[in-house]
Amino acid sequence: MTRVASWTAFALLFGFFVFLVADLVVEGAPGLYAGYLTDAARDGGRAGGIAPVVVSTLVLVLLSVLMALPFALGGAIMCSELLAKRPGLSRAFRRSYDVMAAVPSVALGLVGWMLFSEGLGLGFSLLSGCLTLVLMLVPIMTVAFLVGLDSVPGSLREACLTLGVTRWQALWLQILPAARPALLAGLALAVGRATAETAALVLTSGISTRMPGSVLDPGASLSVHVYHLARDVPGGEARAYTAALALMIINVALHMGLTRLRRTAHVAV
Amino acid sequence: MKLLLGLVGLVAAGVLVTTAMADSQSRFLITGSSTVAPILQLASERIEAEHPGLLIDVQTGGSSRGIQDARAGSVDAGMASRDLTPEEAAGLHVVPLAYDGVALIANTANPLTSITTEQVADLYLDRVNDWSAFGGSGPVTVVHKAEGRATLEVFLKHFGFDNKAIQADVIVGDNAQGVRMVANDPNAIGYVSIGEALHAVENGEPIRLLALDGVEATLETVADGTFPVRRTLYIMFPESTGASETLLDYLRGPAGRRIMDELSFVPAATGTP
Amino acid sequence: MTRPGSRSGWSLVWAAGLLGGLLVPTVVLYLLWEGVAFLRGSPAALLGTDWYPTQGDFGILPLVGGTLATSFLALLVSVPVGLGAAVALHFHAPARMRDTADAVLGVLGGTPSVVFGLFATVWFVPHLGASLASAVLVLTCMVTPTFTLLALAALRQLPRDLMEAGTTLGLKRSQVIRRLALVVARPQLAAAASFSLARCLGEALAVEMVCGNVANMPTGLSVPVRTLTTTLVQEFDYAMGEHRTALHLVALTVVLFAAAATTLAIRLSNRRGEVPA
Repeated sequence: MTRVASWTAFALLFGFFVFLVADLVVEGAPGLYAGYLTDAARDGGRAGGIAPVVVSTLVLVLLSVLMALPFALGGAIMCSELLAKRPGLSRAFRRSYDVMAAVPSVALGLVGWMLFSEGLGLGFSLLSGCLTLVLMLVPIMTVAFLVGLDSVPGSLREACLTLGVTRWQALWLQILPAARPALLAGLALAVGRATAETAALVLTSGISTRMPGSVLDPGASLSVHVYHLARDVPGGEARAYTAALALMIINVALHMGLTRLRRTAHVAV
Repeated sequence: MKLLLGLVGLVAAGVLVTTAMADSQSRFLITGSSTVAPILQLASERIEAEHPGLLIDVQTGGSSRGIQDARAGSVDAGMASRDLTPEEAAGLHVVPLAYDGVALIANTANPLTSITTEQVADLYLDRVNDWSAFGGSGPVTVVHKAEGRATLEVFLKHFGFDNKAIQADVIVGDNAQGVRMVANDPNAIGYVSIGEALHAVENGEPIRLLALDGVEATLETVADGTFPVRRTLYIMFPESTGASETLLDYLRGPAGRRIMDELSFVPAATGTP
Repeated sequence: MTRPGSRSGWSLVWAAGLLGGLLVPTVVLYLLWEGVAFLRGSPAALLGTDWYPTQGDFGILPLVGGTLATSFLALLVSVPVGLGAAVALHFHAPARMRDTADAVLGVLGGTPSVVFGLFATVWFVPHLGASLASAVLVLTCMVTPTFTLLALAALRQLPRDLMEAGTTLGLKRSQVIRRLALVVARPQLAAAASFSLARCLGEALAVEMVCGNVANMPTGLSVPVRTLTTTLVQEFDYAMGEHRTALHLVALTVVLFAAAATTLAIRLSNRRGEVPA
């Protein structure tokens, strides 16, 4: 009884996955051609390639992850090393990071528009989108980094201190390298989340498919492009599928990288 | 240590990319109506090709936003697809660009080709819920516009509807989304900018512009003023600059008229005011 | 051995950490500030059922109703399906299959929600209309993989000897699963559901593409609805003055909902399940 019911549920879920992938490939693959990644979008995205979208996506994802990195790393080191002797405070920070990581991104999009697009006068721009993504990524990355730092055994820290190594040296020479696979996994996770993000970016970096000339220009990321084609462009479904297929391929690649990093992380610990 | 160096390198690369991409070129910022935006987008692409060094950035956010931004001087120009109140227009250089209308549209699978004011009221005020009342078949999907859009205001004002009395099945944002909704649903009825609708028909979208009270929705009836739901598309400037003059000259000249033609709008210079 | 660099290094860590830690709380405080400013003007108006912001009607109830209805109904489907799949994978499937399934679930869980939105506009909307039903289904597609992963993690945390103990007591395998494993893991499974709920409450675009966006109370599955998040997507760019302030309050509401669901999830996941007598 339990067996039959559970396998039925399993079949439903994985049947859906197979159907989704097949649908994406069948509908999306015909739009792929040699110049898809390098041609400009034409006719509102109904024809041509996605070169401007690729550039915008790269700028948004890489810049935002880089900008979030120091804050997230600082936060994680603060919680695991500096506040090690103040467990109450450390726990309070951790709890708040967990909750912050769950703040709906559309709300961050609204705040991003008010602060960066209007407050700093950036308007719809890649920079405004990046700064908004930073708001989203800092808690997510901090939580992931903390997993890595927490997995470093306390004996390593003590051993360093007895050897007369300063805490600063221990941090950079021993603790962070030991946590490296988990730190890299956190980075990969952040890249994945930034790539998948749409709501926060629709409100801040816009839906433009023109090639951005600078970070002050608007530009649609690949996810935003899928959304725009599927919702606003009459006859845009076919190209939306192609872009969604491209997005799915990136997603699979990121996931494979993440799995490998997690595996090495476990071996290291 | 390697990790530290790697991090420093990454951050440095990021800063480099940012500074390399953040240019000091002057940009001309236009915000406002999403109905007017395609005109300015097309114009800016062509002007930029002719005038290197001039960068025009067109962003949509609705007519009221365009007017407000222009009044505040936070942009170089605003776009509106509705008339400005005298208070709104005070102190701005307001230029009519084109005439447009708001037309009811249906899917080509729907046998309906024309509609009366009475029928529009029946459909939007929830008195008729099935196309059988008008000789078709199937439940009606009423496509309506979101709050804050000028097209909504023009529609409500013309038909004298209170927005609260309207029973919609789908609420959409801009015109293109309205076209898409009707193109995908054989039972849908919606209303959008005539320019946008004609442009979509040219692109082969399965939608039909319905004649309203016997008047066809075409460029001609918009131009001569016989189409009942007509509006003017405006651009307004807080101040006159070299760039704004270049833009205005271009839009009023033959190249500008060609753009209006391509997008199925009636150039303000050729229509009946 | 203290080098001069380390002191300023630690200060940098403190600065970055504190800044990062205060970043998002500041965002919430900002929303609270703006929201309270709006509430001071007309608190009662908020509890109406009419959302016509350009006419001064800011009844937020249909939006709250839409958010809660879409999210909870989606969970109603996701939890049984996800739990069933997790049980099949953990208790019945061979190890090879489990690895493949983990990969598939990971990929599905990381899939951008717009992909599900696109899928739903093509497969659900033509049959179900832009309606509560379509919105529920798109959330179900999005959140079931995530819930399954979390449920699997909960089952993996179960003590190994639990199953053996059950078998020694003469229970059948299905009884061990239902009466022992699922009961012991109940708090963690509830936590998984609560995490999934937070994700549903906060999802914006996938829902916006299929829900119809009419501010109705969710009185039936075929009714077009509007949620807190989709209101922000559709109206924020075009909102001015009081309307815009009201949207800050809408954002605050959805942030509080998601924070509540997450806090509940954290509480639950730290709790130990009780073994039935």
